[in-house]
Amino acid sequence: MTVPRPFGVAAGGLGLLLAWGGGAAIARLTGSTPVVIVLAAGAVWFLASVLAGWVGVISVRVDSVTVPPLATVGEPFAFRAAVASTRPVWVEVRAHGVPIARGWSSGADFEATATVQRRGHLPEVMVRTSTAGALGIVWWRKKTAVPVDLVVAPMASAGGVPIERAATTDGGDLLGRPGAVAGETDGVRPWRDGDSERFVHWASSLRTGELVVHDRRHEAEQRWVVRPRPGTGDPEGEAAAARFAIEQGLRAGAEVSAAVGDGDIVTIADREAAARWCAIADLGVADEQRARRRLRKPVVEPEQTAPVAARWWAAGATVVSLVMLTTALDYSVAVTVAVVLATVVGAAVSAPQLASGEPAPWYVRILVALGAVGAFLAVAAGAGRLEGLLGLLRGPLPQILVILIALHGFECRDRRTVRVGLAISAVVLMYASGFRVDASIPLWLLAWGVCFGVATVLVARPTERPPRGRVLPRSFARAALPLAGGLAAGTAATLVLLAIVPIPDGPARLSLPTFIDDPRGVGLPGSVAGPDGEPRDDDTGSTERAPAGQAGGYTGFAQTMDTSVRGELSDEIVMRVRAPEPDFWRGQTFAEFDGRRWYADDAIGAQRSGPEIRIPPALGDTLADGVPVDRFVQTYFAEVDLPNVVFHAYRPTRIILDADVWTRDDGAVRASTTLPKGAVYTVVSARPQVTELLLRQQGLIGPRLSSLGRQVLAPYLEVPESTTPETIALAAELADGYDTTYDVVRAYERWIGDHVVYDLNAPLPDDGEDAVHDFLFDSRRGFCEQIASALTIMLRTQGVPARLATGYAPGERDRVAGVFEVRASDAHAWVEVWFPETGWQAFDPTASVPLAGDTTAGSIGGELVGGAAAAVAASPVLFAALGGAVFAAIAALRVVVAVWRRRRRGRWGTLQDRFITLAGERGASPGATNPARALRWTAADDVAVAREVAETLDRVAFDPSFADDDAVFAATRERIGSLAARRR
Amino acid sequence: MDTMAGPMTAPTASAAGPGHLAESAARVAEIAERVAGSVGTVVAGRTHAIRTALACLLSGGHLLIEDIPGVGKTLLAQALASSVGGSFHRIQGTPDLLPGDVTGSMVPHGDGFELRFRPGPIFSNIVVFDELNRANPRTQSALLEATEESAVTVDGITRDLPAPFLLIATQNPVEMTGTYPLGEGALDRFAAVVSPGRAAPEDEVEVLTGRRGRSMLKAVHPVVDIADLDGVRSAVHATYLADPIARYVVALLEATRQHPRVRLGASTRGGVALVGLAKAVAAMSGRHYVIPHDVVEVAEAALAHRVITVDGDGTVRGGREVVAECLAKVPAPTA
Repeated sequence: MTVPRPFGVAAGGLGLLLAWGGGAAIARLTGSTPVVIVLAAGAVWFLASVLAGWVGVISVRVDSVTVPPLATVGEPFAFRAAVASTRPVWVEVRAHGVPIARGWSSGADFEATATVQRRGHLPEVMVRTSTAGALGIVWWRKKTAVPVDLVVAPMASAGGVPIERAATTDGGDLLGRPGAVAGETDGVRPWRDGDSERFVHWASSLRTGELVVHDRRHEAEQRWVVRPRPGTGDPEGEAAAARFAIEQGLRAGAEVSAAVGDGDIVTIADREAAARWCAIADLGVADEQRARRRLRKPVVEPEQTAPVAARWWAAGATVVSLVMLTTALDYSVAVTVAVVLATVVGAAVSAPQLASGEPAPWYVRILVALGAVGAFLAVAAGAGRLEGLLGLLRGPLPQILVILIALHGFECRDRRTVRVGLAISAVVLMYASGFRVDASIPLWLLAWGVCFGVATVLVARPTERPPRGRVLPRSFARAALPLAGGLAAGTAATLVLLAIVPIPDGPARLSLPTFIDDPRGVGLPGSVAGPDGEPRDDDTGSTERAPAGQAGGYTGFAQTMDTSVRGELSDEIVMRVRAPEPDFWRGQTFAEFDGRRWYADDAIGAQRSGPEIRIPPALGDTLADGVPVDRFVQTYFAEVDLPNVVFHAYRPTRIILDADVWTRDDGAVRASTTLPKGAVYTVVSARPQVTELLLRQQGLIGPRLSSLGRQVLAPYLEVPESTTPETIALAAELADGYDTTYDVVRAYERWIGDHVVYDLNAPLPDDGEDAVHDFLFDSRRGFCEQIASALTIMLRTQGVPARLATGYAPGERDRVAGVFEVRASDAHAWVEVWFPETGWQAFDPTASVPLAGDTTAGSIGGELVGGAAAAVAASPVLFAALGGAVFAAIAALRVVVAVWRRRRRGRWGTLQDRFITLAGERGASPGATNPARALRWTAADDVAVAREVAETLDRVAFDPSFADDDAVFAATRERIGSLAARRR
Repeated sequence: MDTMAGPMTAPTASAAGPGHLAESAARVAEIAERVAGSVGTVVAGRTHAIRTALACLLSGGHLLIEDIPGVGKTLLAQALASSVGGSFHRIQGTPDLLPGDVTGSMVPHGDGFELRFRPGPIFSNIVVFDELNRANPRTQSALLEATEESAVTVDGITRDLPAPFLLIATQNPVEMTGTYPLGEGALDRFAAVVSPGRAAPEDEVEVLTGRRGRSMLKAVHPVVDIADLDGVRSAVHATYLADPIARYVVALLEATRQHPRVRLGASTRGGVALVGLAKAVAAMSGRHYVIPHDVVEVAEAALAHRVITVDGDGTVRGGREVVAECLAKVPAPTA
């Protein structure tokens, strides 16, 4: 009977669950890491609330119940139960399956007025205690059957219950009318059959001409037998009438007895006996009243009001999420301010109603309705033509969402709506997290999480809790430790959960975001254009370095590329790439080399129209049967104006881009517009799962090429005329002895690694000199372009198809946002070697990007922990200082609290508080008197000390002649100190 | 509880200075100890009841002793009366007792048969009224009016009762038939109700062996002069009551009025009586100021009979429970 069971979910809990589901959908659609973090934290929070209720309810102990021995139907009586629990719990007492009393326990006991609606003997009551812990979402309940001995009598009410009345004189004659009542005033009345002639009132009889008798009722000795009828179908009513009749008889001084129908007669001595008899008289069963048992939803949470502060914290959560969304969508500042204002006004309007439980005033409802209609019309008018689901998601949907949330704020006037409001803010937060990829996400999540957590705890606070009297002053550590412990445990559990969940591998079906706000058409179809839309054909022969700080300044994103020129690249973030794993973000490939300069294919490729574009395999992209591929989804967020190069991980199969593209045989993809700041597009790649083994198995590629293959791949086998014999000799020498091309590439890389210095400011080769020769033998200094060029040409001399690829290295991982931050300085060039079975394979001696088949996706939790560990390892001093600052802040706070207490309570007040706390630890109630507290100590010396302390404290407080004395204070403080030292 | 009654707040009653106050408190304590010792030779155990009765005596209130027969109600009253000097009368309550039997009446006197007032038993310092609820309501109210005004009006002439005047009444809560239960107003006039309760087993042995009990009553002699009692009472009255404690008493009264079981809560007069008793207890402890514990000690005695519970049965039992609950609920003031 006392097994705790989950009882239900508080009002609005379903909304939170739906929000979680919505968040899961957003995570599936966008593959956004912060959404997964929020979802994991939400799951942990839900688990914690399940646990909190369970822990709260298992500690409940119902010991005894105090009721009066006799109660009356419908009349309230005092009910008291010893319900011990760590926190106040909601108590509902039931008799015959019907609630008779309910309310909050104080933590030590439960007091209420109870009302029973059925007569009878009550051998036990069912005490249902329920709680949801501090988080207030999942309610647990425990039922305890407690024996009582309560007789519930019917409420006396006049009714037609049969009464046998006999009034006899000493001689046995009937006297007066039947049922005459003793003590009533004397009088006369007409003769009735059975009257004695002795009591004829002759004077009146003569005057009226008929027989009149004295009504000598006070002499009557009466006997009443009240006989309620069994089986009338209304036993309650019959019992009530019987009680009324019996009490009437008792008042009249009659000797009253009662019997059920013709059953045994029981003498009733007094009113209490009457009540007891009527309570348990067996008068049959009530007519089966077809009680219309509507399926009523059980009310899980007993209260609907909440403190005002809860509403404001919920408003805080809403503001955070809304501002995060409006800034993510680049709404104007005016819109943001308006949204915040509306939320604040809504909270101000609804907070008093939340506290009082009153309905919203009519004008608020009308305003909200008008506002909703007007806002929809405005949005509909401004939206224009909706361009599919993408347009809806980007355009009117968030606008409608924002307006609805702001309006809903006016209606948050009970716990359900506040929780629903919090759920909506969670959806908005996750929706915004789907759009945002910037570094501020952790701050937004933290701010929202604090508001959400505080609001949910506050909104679940019991508002009608019985006064507990004075609360023990708690020490700082005792107040802060459970909170800190709970937070730490929650964080740890979230991280553990996130360690299980893999990094989302990107949008599941539809790549949610692709938009180009301000597209700039490219003049020449299929050509490479800079961010300005002008074609970038750096065939000028100029050796000038490109302007510094310009994103497109990298020379690799042009029709041709001079290896001796490198733009001065800044650390500016040019784009963010949401992807589960690092990879090269490829932009261009180059086949033709003239010794100094690489040239891309002149063919413009095939035009394909967006937004959803299937990319056919380019030249050499076909894979042999049995080579596994994975699905690798990347979403690119342009952070500066970018050229029309569509970056992608090898090998793209689908591009979702709000523009047309040209797909080229050399594997590059170029858009019909530039990709300005804010542009977003998604690429789905099928990456061959290449491993070292797979590459080695393909042996030496040169000899394997058929003549047709040589013909097709001719551009990638062509060795420029300027290539020097030394280069060829070196390539041949290094390749000697290896029987797989993979090993040959590795040998070249090793040689370059050993003999060449990486230097961004490598000297330019002399005019007409072969750049590869200069790099390999003269300067031996260079950067990625020289290295990649040399590697490509060396491979080509060995008959291996190879080309130069340009793009970006993966960049730095933002672990919370789950994106790679690609900076201008990450611009890169590397080698692509063609393998017959696995297609083009990137090799790079400078950047360490693992082979696709060797990488394993990590988990968010692992990344977060790793990131934090790395951050600490990177700057231990900073983190030590931070930790020290936190400790110092806590210590300072303690001092401030102590000083504040001291100022508020005085020095004696502080001592008194310590004494209260010490005695409270020994079980003294917070409101006890000081001498009563002193009795809590058991050892004789302790009692003497405690008594002295109590006396002194009382003298300080209540003796007018007490003069504050430092010596007395010091002595008392010492005594309290000695008592504290005796603490168990 | 910000009002730490510091030395700045000079009490109004201590015109003679705190030193004097402390001195007189010590004297009260000494007298109280003497009387308690004297009563203790007769009444076995039950020190709390004796202490409360004594506090009642010292505070100038009237005392009702309510308990089952045979636990020494009358004995306690008699021992208390005997220990204090002064005139003493005992009245047995019966239904046919008339007001005149209590207050006295005009009787013909001398040769001229002129009417002269013959004072009734109420004209004494200590009046023990046994079985008060057996007297008829007329007599009860006459008696209680006399106690309230400390004067009796017979034949249009008001005659003052001797001072000090103390009424100790007893009643039996079990046998209610043929009684006239006291009304709420009548009960309210008693400063305190005590129920001595049964003596502990070892105390009962003392009674049975004759070392205590009625047989010892003869040996009791006044240990304090009745004239001294006046001084003691003024000393008790001067005991200092800090504001937080007065507020505490008010909170207690309010709590009895808010209690779910209560039909009629304690009156303001109850609060006055409670404060008087608390002052007496404080003085008996040798203190010249009241502490919350004094209030707690006598709260049940002072308030139980003034609280009418919904399931009341004519006794103070329900009231006691309510007051105990209120005491547990209302936090006591501290420094």
